Amino acid sequence: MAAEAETIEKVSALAEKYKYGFVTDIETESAPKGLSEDIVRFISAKKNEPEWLLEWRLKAYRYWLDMEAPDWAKLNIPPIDYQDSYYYSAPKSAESRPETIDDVDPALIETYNKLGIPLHEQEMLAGVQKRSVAVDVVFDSVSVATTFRDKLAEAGVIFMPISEAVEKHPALVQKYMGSVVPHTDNYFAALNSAVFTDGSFVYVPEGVTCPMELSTYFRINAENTGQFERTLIVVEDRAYVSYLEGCTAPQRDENQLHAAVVELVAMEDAEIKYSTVQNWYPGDEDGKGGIYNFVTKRAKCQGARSKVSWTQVETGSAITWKYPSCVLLGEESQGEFYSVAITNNLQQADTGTKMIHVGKNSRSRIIAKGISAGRSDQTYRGLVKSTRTAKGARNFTQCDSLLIGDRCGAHTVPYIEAGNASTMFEHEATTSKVSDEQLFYCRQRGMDEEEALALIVNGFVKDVLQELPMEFAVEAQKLVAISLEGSVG
Amino acid sequence: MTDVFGAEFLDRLHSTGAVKNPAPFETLRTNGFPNRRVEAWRYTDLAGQLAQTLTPAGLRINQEQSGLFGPNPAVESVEGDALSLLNAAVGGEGFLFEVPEGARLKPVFARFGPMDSNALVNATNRITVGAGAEAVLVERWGQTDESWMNSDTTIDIAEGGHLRRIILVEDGGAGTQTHRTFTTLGENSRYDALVVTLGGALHRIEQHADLTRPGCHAGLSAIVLKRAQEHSDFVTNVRHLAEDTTSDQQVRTVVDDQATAIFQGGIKVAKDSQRIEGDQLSRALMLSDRAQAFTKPELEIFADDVKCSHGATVGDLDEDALFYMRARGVDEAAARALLILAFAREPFEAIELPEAIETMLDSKVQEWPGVSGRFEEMDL
Repeated sequence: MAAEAETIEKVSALAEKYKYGFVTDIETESAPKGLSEDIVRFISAKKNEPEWLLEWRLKAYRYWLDMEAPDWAKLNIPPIDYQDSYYYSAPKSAESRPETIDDVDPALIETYNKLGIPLHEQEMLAGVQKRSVAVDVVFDSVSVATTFRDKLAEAGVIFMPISEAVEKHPALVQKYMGSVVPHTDNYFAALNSAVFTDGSFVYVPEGVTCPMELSTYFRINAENTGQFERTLIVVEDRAYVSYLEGCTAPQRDENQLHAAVVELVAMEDAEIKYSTVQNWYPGDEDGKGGIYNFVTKRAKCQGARSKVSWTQVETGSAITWKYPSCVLLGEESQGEFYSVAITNNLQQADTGTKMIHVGKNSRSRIIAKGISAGRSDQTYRGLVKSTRTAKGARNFTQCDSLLIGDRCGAHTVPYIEAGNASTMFEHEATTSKVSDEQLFYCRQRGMDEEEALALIVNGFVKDVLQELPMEFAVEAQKLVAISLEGSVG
Repeated sequence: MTDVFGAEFLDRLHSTGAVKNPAPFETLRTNGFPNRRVEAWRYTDLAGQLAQTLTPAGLRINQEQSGLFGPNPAVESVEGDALSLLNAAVGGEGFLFEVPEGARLKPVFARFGPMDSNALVNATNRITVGAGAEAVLVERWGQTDESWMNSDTTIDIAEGGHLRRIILVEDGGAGTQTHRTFTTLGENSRYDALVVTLGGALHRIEQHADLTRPGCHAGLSAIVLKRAQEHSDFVTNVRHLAEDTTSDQQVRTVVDDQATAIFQGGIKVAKDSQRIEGDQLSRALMLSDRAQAFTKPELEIFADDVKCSHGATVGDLDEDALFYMRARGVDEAAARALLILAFAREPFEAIELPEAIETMLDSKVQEWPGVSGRFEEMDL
């Protein structure tokens, strides 16, 4: 045992470190530290928000003050001092919102180049890169650039930072914001509603298939800063959009808070595909530093035959608390959840989904794969529920956990609540370790142990990765290997 | 302290003079009974039970063979939830059943219950199985209207011992039954419990098993048949505390009318408990749109060399199977009865149930609305 632990440590010492851990040295403007009504007003004023939104924020803030942080998850969350953090931080250069990519601060462009996020529309349009993805990049508290806006506008798709949408499309924002996740929903949603800074807004009009993938890239850069973004996607009848989300943060010894809210609304025959590759800084081998990722994501499948599909690859964050959910209101509406969660070192994750069946013949499918390594702890927590009205509701759930090493934990807590007789729910779950036979087979053919493990794990998560858009799938596959580095002994 | 859940119930209990042990009573009086915000009680509400005015009474034991059950002196202090505290506060005496080392007992039958309406019976029971001993214990927990039976049973099974327990929690109209069993298993020992719960206003049966030594096995299973507004909460909690231990849980639930059935199944594997196998399968059959079936498996695993699985299904009667039988001349009512019984009985086919329980199950299914017992006479 001792020898094994030693090997693990040796290997982890050699392993590649978190490669997005650099800091961009850029002049920023921050709100004073701490949280108060004044800060809420400050943020609102910075964004030139209308009166109703300020009121909405203040209502949420006052509500939050009386709430207690949830403690039901299998997470060990150190007490968070909400006064010891900045709630607004923005690069100075972003003060006057850049009109085109050419106006964006070169230091920021450089940052995103380093992160592998292409912001150069010309190259893509000129065919240097094959597929185009429109990107909205959020740096700390503001969106610094959104690409391909003109091209999207031609198709009638609105894709812009939510702060801009508040100015340009106030009716839409006011109608839908908080309609899926009200500020009263939970502690972190209330906090987000009070202090949210930026995020993306997507509106796809009736009958439009969005001509390209939309993507938002979140980066926390400033020290001691929380990121509270809010994303709202509304897809009208018979429209379709695929949206990707990525995130990274510098390597720091302090923990940083990320509390986002994502709301999706799908109308009749609409479809939303939402993919996330979450790679916030996970902290070091001893669990120092890392992002606290407390996120509320929910979709309302409002129209008949609407469909929402969540795909997530969760590899980062010191602590993850996240349950992307679907409320299936429409007849024959569909919800899907595909998840890969990997925890290593001292990471903790409590993640899963909720599928709430209200509409007749609504269907849902959950495939969740959890991999725990090192001394990490991971929990799948899910709810599948049918109300009395959800005649013919159908769910299939498969959740599998893989354990690597004998010092980690893997837990499964599915809640299955059937409310009418024509409901058909099936759930299966397994927990096991990587089989020695498989490892031996690969090693015998000349792979080293880490390669072999990455191959086996990639096989284990294949069902989920294949749901990702292609370029993300390749990235995710590499990410799986990197996340597991140092986990074999 | 008026907002303590069940305060008035406890005050009434106190005024009857039934409280013998002040310490657990005070703890209970301070903390109250668990409400639905307590995770383990999220599906079961004791409000109706706590509104009752009940008269404390002793446990009555009817046994077929005399002399096997002795009185068990009540314990004074307990760790456990509010219902164990209630039991300890009243100092409910229960039975003591000891199987000497190496003994092989024929199946032992016993019936427990209050004979009076509105009785509150608390009992603390103890079962010990000596090394290499084998025993089959068939218990029937009966009740009359609006009584509440509440018990804690601790079981110790020594090395190589094997206890099979079949517990029939009987239909008693508006009665409540809350029973908890805490089993500790020694090396290579085995505990198999099958709980059959029928009827009753509220049944909450908890089976806790600690697998403390290598080679032991716990099987915690249940058949749950509920109708009208009956409510059943079956809770298991297996803790694999030693390596090379196995567990198995099979739960079959049938709910009709406005009944509610819950299965909360726990499998915990402690750190360093390697080479573990833990299986769980719960299936629920829902026969009415106003019935509810809740399933909450919970796996908590801290060792890596494990094979744990759980499965859960919820659904209606299989139309194809029904059609198959009808096509072969079985009328619908009989076909339904046969399917319900087969569904409930299937995982336990290998277990020879005592005739009394077999009969009970049959007649319970045959009382079901829309089914009939005629298949018994048919040559299938």
